[in-house]
Amino acid sequence: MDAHEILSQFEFYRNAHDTLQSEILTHSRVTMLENGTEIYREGEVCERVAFVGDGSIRVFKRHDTGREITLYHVRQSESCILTASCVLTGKRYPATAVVESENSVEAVLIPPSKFHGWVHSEPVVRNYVFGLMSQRIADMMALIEEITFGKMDERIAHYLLEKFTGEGTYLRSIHVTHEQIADELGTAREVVSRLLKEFEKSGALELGRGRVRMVNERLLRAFAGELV
Amino acid sequence: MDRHQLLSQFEVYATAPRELREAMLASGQVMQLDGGARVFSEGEGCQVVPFISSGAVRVFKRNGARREVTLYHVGAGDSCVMTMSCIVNGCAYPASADVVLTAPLVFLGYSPALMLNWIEQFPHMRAHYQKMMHKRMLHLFGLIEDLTFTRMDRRIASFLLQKFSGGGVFTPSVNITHEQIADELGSAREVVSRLLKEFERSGAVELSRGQVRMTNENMLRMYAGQSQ
Repeated sequence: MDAHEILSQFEFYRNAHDTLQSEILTHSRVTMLENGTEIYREGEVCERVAFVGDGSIRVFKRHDTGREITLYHVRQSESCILTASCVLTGKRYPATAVVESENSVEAVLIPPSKFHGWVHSEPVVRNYVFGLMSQRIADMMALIEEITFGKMDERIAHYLLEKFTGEGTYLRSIHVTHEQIADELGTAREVVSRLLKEFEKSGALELGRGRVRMVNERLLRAFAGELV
Repeated sequence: MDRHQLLSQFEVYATAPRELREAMLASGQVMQLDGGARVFSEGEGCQVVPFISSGAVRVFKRNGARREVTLYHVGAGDSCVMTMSCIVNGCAYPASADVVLTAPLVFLGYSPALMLNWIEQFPHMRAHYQKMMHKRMLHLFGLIEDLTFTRMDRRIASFLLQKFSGGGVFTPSVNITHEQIADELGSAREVVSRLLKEFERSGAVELSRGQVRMTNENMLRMYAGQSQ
């Protein structure tokens, strides 16, 4: 994909007037980032704002003990609001961001000074950033609610259902390790393994090496608390 | 207190260009709400952007039953721009807010439309908005980390230490119920009571009806994980 193709996934770019579009293009650089690439580490200065055209980036907090909690993912046709916010306020990046997707991430990179300028001078860019920011804050509140009140068995079942049926696809089997699930949900691998075993015993799932197969969707939905 | 005095508490006003300062001075309505009053419920959002002169607001998520978790507080000299983000986005605000019990809330309220205008018009107000949003976002990340990685005994101990030495003054005794602590930290009253009892047995605090007294600060700091 070239810069125009990637940026066309973004409403602010599509709605930008011609001069702004070509100015954005002039300052865009397309990059490919392989699975596992660390983009930002906690405390780093943000040196580019990324607009993702393909692939997915995981943004998370890492604790001294090595445990992790995923804050959110930056997926296709999304941008990392944390980067934008750091650029706008001159702050350092408060989390870790790593490429985690089977396809490499293809993204457009824009220099912070340019981005900063557009947010100030162009309402179309500004509205995009403000909208993204409030969306992310609402997501964070939902995550806090889930951590506080949601039970871990429900959260795991819910997470798996998302994977099996999320984004319009329907998969019978997914590649995911117990460790990955634990990192996503901010719990220990042991907790995940114990609960997955329970799901398996009841006949909802079948576990293989680095793989989870859904055997009984209704049962899994019951574990997720979705059925009455 | 006249309007200028009231507004002078706010950095965004004190450092504003003259035109903006005059506009802020000329509009906005001084309002008051009783301690404990509901400011807005989840899904409603706020009809005014408050600049708080005295008292404080607690913003929280409530879980169907009776459990709550506090997301953040907005106190004197603070303005809450969060609910405005919803107006920008046309979504409902995903949390509820109450005036804290201890004192009435006095604030200057501006209409969201007016604030949006100023954000459009004045880089100064824009920077303020971005700074506030960034600050809240960081706070939510911190809360997520805390909820995920920090044990409840440590969280209760830190919370109490903050109360005992809150706002730079040292108070050996605070009026607070176990239920209020549970609501602040997103736990159940029973859990809080059990852990407080443990603190009491070890001599760190003394409990009475609706009151917690600190009897051994070092011990409490140890519970909070603050001493070596």
